[in-house]
Amino acid sequence: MSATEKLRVTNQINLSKYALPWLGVSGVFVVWHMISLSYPPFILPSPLLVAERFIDRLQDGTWFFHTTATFTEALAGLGCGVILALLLGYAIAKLDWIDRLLSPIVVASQGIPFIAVAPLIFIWFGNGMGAKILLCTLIVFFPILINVVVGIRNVSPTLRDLFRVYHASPWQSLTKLEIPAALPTLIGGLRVGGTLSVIGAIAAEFTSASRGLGFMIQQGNNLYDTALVFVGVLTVIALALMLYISIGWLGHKLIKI
Amino acid sequence: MTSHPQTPPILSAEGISVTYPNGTQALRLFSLHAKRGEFIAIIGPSGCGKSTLLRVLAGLLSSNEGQVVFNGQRLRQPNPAISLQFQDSALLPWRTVEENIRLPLELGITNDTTHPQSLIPNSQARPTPNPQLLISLVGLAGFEQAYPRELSGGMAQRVALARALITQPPILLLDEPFGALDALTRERLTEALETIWRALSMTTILVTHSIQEAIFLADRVVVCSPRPGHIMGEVAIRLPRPRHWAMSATPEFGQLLQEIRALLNPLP
Ligand SMILES: Nc1ncnc2c1ncn2[C@@H]1O[C@H](COP(=O)(O)OP(=O)(O)OP(=O)(O)O)[C@@H](O)[C@H]1O
Ligand SMILES: [Mg+2]
Repeated sequence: MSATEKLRVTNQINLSKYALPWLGVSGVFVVWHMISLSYPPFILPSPLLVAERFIDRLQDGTWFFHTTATFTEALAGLGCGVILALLLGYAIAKLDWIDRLLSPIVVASQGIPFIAVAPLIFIWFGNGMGAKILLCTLIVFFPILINVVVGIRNVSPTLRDLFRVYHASPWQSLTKLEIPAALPTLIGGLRVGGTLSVIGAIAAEFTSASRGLGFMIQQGNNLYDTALVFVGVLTVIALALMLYISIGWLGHKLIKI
Repeated sequence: MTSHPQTPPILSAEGISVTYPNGTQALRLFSLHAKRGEFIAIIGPSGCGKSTLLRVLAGLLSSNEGQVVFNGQRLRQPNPAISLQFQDSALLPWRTVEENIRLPLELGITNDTTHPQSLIPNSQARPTPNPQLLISLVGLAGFEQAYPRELSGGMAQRVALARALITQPPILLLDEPFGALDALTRERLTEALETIWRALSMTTILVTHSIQEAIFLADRVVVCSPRPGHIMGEVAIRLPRPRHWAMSATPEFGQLLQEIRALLNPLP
């Protein structure tokens, strides 16, 4: 294969790799714009109107204010959820008695519709940031926990034997075997958790808040300012995507296989 | 290698029976005594319990009956002096070839021969562990930085062999280390293993399906029955050392081959 041919092939690959997703996204905007032409803006605002509203909110600083609030809550909730899930998941995966003791409770707790009982959480724990982070944590916790348990349990028995042959300490087994072996599964759980944590933060802000994207969306709903609602929703999508992509990137950096 | 008949065995299996939880009996009253520095080859049909035996000897699996005695004491769990090469290589996929080979050293198993547990005589003569040297001995020079997914099955086996050797273990248990190799590489590597074994005088138990390989390497070839495995007979190999593959053309070698074949295939 000649150099130019090779170049052409790489260009084709890059084209389909990067151009197609953008083509898809722009397609959505075009269709959206076409449909919006036949409706009043409070039913379906055009993308242009949404962009205009976004610039408004960017200039008066409220967009940044609400976005940071949501992002902080989501990130803190994700962090707490991850730490809890790692500790508990590892214990469940390693110790049979903890598995038997806690697994039924943990699984049953997943039947709780956290979003629906959010008002209760605010009555119990107050209206502050802490309660919102707690709600995020509760939502994020379970999917990550499952991935931790599955990841640790699936470590190949032969590799475990190998570490036993060489008298590895529990700490060595954890750092040199279990974490690297479970990492792909863990990253998978984190990606789901990251997306869920943003949704959790929005749900919390819907129930009770004076700041955050959830609050902004609700404001838009109340004022029939549908363009503002769209600004909020698109920002939420962007946040979730950003978390998803950066966790994936982190995983890519950490996982050598 | 001269073995004195009066020296007590360094590692012995005494009447081992193993039945797996699903009811499969893998071993029945298997007894084997390895003298210090001896090279034993175990040969037997597939599924007769050879890997099971090595797992018991390594302290990874406890037997339902009988016991393993190592250096005068009952073995109840893995011992750093006993190194096992797994049949399926068991490489860490996130580590390069060199990092895989170094693993036992990282886990703190050193070949420090001043260690009181050291069971190897002539310790002064032993070279320091050198992953690079081992890598070239098993013919993997140039692949130090490769990941296991980039290796063929035979290459992975050679990495596993190098890893088992890096600690220069007093007891070396090998589970078909050359199973996936072409004939030529196999001959080269068996010669290398014999050289290493002579230099380090490790007590070695090798499981293999190749009668030639067993004769070439061992002081004693043990023939195992079909499942549940027990010893059907053994053949002492008195060929001079160092050994060369040219010896396989000698009448003595042919004689031993016939003898072991006959043990494996008893006439009805
Ligand atoms: N974990 C296990 N659970 C149940 N049965 C097992 C297990 N491991 C091995 N066996 C059975 O025990 C018998 C002996 O197995 P083993 O692996 O020791 O054979 P082997 O002699 O090493 O065979 P090969 O030469 O093919 O490697 C086989 O019949 C196998 O099915
Ligand atoms: Mg086997």
